[in-house]
Amino acid sequence: MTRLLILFGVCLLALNCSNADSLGDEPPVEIAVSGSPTYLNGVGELLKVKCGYCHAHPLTDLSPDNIVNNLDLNSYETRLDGDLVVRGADAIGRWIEEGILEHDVAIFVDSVDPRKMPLDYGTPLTQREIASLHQWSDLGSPKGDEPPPLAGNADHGESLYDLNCGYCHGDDGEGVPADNGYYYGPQIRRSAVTAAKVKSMWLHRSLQGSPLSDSDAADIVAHVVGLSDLAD
Amino acid sequence: MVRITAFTLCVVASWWCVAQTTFQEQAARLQNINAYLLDFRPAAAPEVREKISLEFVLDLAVQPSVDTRVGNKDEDIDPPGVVPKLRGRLHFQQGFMIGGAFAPGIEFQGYEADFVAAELGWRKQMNDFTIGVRGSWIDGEILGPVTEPELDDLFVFENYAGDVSLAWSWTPTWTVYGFAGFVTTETSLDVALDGVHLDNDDDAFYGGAGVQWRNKKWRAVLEQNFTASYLNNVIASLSYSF
Repeated sequence: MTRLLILFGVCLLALNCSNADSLGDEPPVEIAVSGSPTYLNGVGELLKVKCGYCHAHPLTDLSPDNIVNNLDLNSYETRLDGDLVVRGADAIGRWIEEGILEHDVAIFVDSVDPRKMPLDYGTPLTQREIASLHQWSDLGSPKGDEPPPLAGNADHGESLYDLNCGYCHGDDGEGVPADNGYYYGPQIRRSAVTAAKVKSMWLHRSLQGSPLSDSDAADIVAHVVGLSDLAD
Repeated sequence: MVRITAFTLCVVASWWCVAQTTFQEQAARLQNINAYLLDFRPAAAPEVREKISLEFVLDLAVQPSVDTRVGNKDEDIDPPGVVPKLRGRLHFQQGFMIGGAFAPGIEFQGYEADFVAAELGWRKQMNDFTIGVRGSWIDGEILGPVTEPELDDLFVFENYAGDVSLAWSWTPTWTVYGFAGFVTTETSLDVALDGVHLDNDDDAFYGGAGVQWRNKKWRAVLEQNFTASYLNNVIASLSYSF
């Protein structure tokens, strides 16, 4: 009788012990940004943890098949890799402002399964992280250790701007709309007029094929901050 | 009071940090759970045969309910409730045992399993007690809806394990046994939806206990497995020896 009871107990224990402890109930890790958000103060770590595992250059095993191959959110500066312009975190402030964190990603909008960033299996952004990224974008996506801005020559900057920037952003920074509701170049945000941003855009959009010098960037900044149709 | 408060804060802070996770941690843990669920466990008490014999075995591993959420991805996946495995054991008189299992792309409830496994053991009997040591290896892949219904993700795993066991036969018919071991695994998961590839490796202690019923050439086993903090699962086994 005792043996039967022991056996019964063992069986009962066994039949009740199939379970697995996954992490499915755990909240996503949150990168808290205290103080003014800059790339060096929290935003860089946030972007690496939540975005940089896919948006890397070269691409990683975690990068989806159809991802852009020229965006690296593990570094701040836009750079050249051979002939390829690899955009850094200095390029994404506009996208954050335009709602890439809130809206479905453009390539998935018309699909049966619209998707947001970070895609599906990525670690979700928390509301505080999204707020920090918006605040960082509103501040002009600063890196955090910018040297004091050089005094630029606005006249020289105007000539550079007219040749390389005004075609898309307009003579006064008002932006140039395209027929399909998009912009060739959006209205320039006053807070985004930094040498870093100008150098990033120069590499990405101008046809010069070589980086802009610090003094030329300062000249363009000196000209652009004086334009009449900038957005606040 | 200050010390207690600081200690409490540290504990709370640690708990909070541990409670937060990344999708990489979630994906790795899910891969580990699946790999350990498919591991080549003893599923029988160690025993020494009086003469050489060949044993054919059907293992049924109970699949526990698993929260498969990774990041924002929380699909309604419906894996089989039981994972079957056909295996064979060749028992030698000196206490040696070799065994294996093979599944050449068998489809089961929407999942295609392709694996090969092997085990090598040595056992020694002392009156009513038997001790055993065993090494095992399993290498395989599962093709099926691991992360998304109606899509074929590819889960690849390879486990190496070793364990020691102790059995006590309190009657010729009934035996209870326990075992403890260590397993190391390498896995990868190819997510069909986006072409993402997730690599992972891990190791863990495991153990378990079981009860075995024998009647001449038949034996039936009910074995409870524990794998570190990952997984508890039951394996039921029925075998016939020639």
